[in-house]
Amino acid sequence: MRAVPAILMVVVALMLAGCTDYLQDDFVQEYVVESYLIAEQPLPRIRISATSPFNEFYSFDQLGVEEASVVVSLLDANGAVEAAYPYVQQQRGIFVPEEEGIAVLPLRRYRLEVQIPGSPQTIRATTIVPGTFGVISVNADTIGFRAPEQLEIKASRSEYPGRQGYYIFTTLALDTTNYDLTPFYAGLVERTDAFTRREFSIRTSGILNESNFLEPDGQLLDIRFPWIGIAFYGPNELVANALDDNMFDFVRSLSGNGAGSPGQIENTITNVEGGRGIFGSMSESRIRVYVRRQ
Amino acid sequence: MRLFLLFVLLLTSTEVFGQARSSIYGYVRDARTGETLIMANIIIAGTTTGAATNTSGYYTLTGLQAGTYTFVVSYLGYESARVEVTLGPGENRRLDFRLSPDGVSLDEVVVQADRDGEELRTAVGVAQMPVRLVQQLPAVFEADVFRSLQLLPGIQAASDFSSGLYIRGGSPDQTMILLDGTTVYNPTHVFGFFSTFNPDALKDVQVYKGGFPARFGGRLGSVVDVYNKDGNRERFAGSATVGLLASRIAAEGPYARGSWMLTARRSTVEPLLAILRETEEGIPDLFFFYDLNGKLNFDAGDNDRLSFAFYGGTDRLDIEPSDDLEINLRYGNRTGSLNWTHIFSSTLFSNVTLTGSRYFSTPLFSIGGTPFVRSNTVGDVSLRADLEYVPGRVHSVEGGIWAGSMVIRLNDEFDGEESFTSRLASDYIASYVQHTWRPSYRWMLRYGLRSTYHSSGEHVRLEPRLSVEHRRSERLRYQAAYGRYYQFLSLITNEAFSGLDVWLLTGEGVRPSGGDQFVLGFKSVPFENWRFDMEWYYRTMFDLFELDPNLRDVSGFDYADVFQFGDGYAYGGEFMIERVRGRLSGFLGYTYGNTKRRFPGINNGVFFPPKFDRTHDLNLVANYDLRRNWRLTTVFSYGTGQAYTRPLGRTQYNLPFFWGATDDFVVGRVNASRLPPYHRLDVGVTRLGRLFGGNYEFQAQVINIYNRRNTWFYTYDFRDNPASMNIVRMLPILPNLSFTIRF
Repeated sequence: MRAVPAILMVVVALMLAGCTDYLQDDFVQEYVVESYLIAEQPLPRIRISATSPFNEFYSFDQLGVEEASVVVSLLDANGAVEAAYPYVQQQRGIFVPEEEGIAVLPLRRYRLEVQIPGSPQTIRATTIVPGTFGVISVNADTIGFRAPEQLEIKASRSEYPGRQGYYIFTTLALDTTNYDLTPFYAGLVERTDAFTRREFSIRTSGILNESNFLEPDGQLLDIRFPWIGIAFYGPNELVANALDDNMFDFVRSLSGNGAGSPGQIENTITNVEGGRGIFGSMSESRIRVYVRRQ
Repeated sequence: MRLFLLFVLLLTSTEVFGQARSSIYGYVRDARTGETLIMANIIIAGTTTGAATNTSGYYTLTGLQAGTYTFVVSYLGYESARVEVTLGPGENRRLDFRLSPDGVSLDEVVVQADRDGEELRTAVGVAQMPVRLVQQLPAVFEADVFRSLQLLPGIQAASDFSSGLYIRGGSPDQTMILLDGTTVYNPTHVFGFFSTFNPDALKDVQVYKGGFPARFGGRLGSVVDVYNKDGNRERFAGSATVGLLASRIAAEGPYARGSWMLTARRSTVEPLLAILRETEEGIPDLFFFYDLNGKLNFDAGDNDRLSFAFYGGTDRLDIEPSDDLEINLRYGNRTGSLNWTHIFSSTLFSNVTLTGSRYFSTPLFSIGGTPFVRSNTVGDVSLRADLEYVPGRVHSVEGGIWAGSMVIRLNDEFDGEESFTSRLASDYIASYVQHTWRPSYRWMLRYGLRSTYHSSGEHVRLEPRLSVEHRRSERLRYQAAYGRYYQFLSLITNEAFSGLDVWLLTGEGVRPSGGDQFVLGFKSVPFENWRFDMEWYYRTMFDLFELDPNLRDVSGFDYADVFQFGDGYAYGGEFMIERVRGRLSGFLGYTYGNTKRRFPGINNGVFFPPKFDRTHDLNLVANYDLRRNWRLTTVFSYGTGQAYTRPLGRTQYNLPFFWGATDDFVVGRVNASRLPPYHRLDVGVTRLGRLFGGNYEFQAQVINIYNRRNTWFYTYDFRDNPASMNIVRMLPILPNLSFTIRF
């Protein structure tokens, strides 16, 4: 028993040695870029701002960056610049291409470079634009909500180097004034004040992999549109977006999207060097459908 | 070959070259019920020679010279028994001992209190939870074995809402849960709030917190070995309990060739829900859980015993919280085992078990007319065979195999169409051998090797195990253990809700998780009826595989690509002071713990503490017999706040397919902040008495008596600017009442 005090002393020493090598770090302001290139559409605007401390008032108007040097470059297969497109500031935090109407090319690589005055670091990000795809057939242009026959869309595939396609499907309600919400969404609005009617004008699926829809021949996508995707009766526009790697990482990890323990939060995967944000690209296809009460 | 011959020679030398030795062997039982007692001690009075019963309640004490001996048989919570026996040369005497519980005197048994030479029962890394204590402790609605285990040093809870066991820095899936030797894959009720084990059915609960011997395997961290009762061999007996959430009934008794036991438990809140539905919205249309436990023992002969045990439990919840929103949850477990124990001789004992286990979960969500169904099942059929060979007091050898086949199915249906399907199957075979060498009273060396093969991924792993014990005196021993451990399964779970748990297997490109454990122990009896134990552990973890939490749709991915792979470590110290007898009994346990994980792509690849990491954890459990029929029980718990990730900054995006702006956190180090400390005081009073010829027990308890609103986690609301933080709290003050009558 005489050994007990000595053992206890060793234990206490070990405990103290183990305390604590892992402390909470402090907020460090970072720059945030945001831009979404869409195949065969003009080069988009770019939003550039700074992060703010969590417990402070957030205002993009105040945090938007000014006088940044912004260039989007089209790269060739070897990574060399094939064409460079400088941007100019439109308003605080918003930058647009100097030259309008430059179309984004599918299956090509683009690079963003941003230099912010006073910041020693250049912000860089690259994206490969997904291949274009389109709707080949739709079984109906008018459907009854929750009718036995659902909306079925056949579409071509969007190509992407080295992997299957990743898609997001969005429903845009085109007339939220004259048409009602479908029952589930109406219930949400009626029962809580956490939701407003307006926010259901856009409904988006999570990321869905091509393998879910690929027909056996591997050429076409066969999509049966779920009723949960329709929030309003009346005219709706259905948008399918094929995502690049940056969009895929960004959307799947965006706040609240990851599955974890209660209260667990993590940084969004941004694939931006020298800052954070998204420099992503997509290709898209749209159709319109009218949803009537059954 | 030479080494093998030397080994055999060493093992048999006492018997071959010594004079004809005698032995005693048999079972140690409860005198009132005939239940076998696990880890009871048999010691020759006045000496240090002794043995302990195994998990079948069987002991063997060999290598004795002819003569007259007084054997002292002891077991915690029971009066010690002294039996004088004369053994002739070479005699192998079958001696079954029967012990009376403390405070119960039985004339027909020779009983004498023997507090001298209190034998230390626990091996390194092992803890026992007396079932009586489980039934006495203040409980949230229902006595629960896992919540009781969470009070032991080294075992922690994630929250008031979870019965999950976080042992020595390991997540719940790193603990093997065995019920009568059968693996239970989701041992929970009410989606994680309680464990599945009905306390009325239990005989013994042992926890191997770490450094466990080669007999066990299949998990990285620990083993919880639960044994149901065999059934009363003396008379028909039973009990009925009415509680606030559930009621239980148990019956047991003898028959011509053995004994039987049957227990049932079911939730009884439907009438309350029906009343609430009249006035409140969002009340479940259906909610219940039940479980059944049964065992039938058949004494085929003096040396052969067969037993069949089964367990079945199900949880159901049907709720329509909103228009066009329907949730139907159903999950449960079924297990069955057929066990045969055979005594070949005084030196050779065998145990063969055929096990079957099935876990199923079929949650259905129907949202806005779009159904989503996930069906997950785990099926596991196995055969275990264990042999114990005890040729003398110096050597004993154990060996065995465990072979089986496991199938895990996961099917997702979205909108009536199969969106994902997987069938993971693996045949496995594990074998082990371990040798225990006791060259003297003071020293014990146990070493062994376990090998495991899983056909899924064609993985073979070898796991060496070693433990050493040195007794400084009868009241003081030092222990050390090392072991390598592998795990071929990973559990995808959410701490808050176990009804969606999914098990995944190793496979092509997914290697088994591995780890090394080092344990140092110090066990002492400083004063009569007191124990003071300390253990330190250090463990590593490698090849941990978890489903990538950011990958929601895994269709089209190669199996290995849906995982993230990492490593980790944990170290800590555990201290326990226990008073095992007296009007005031109980224990004070303290744990210092530190555990970290590392996954590429998270926290810049730097080690971080998982959410359940607690630096300090302290539990005080006290039972005080106020008067003959009144007992006070109290539990106080204190723990360092759990780790959480604090948002440091924020930003905002305008994604083209989301309505309005999307707010986003900016976080720094993962889990680098701490929630406020956790503490809670529970008290209970028990009244014992006689009613209608039976014994009754009325319990009145208050959980969280000073209504400490412990923090579970934070949520953040970006609709406020600046963003606001909301606290999600754990249990408030709660009453609990139960009434049990035993007959």
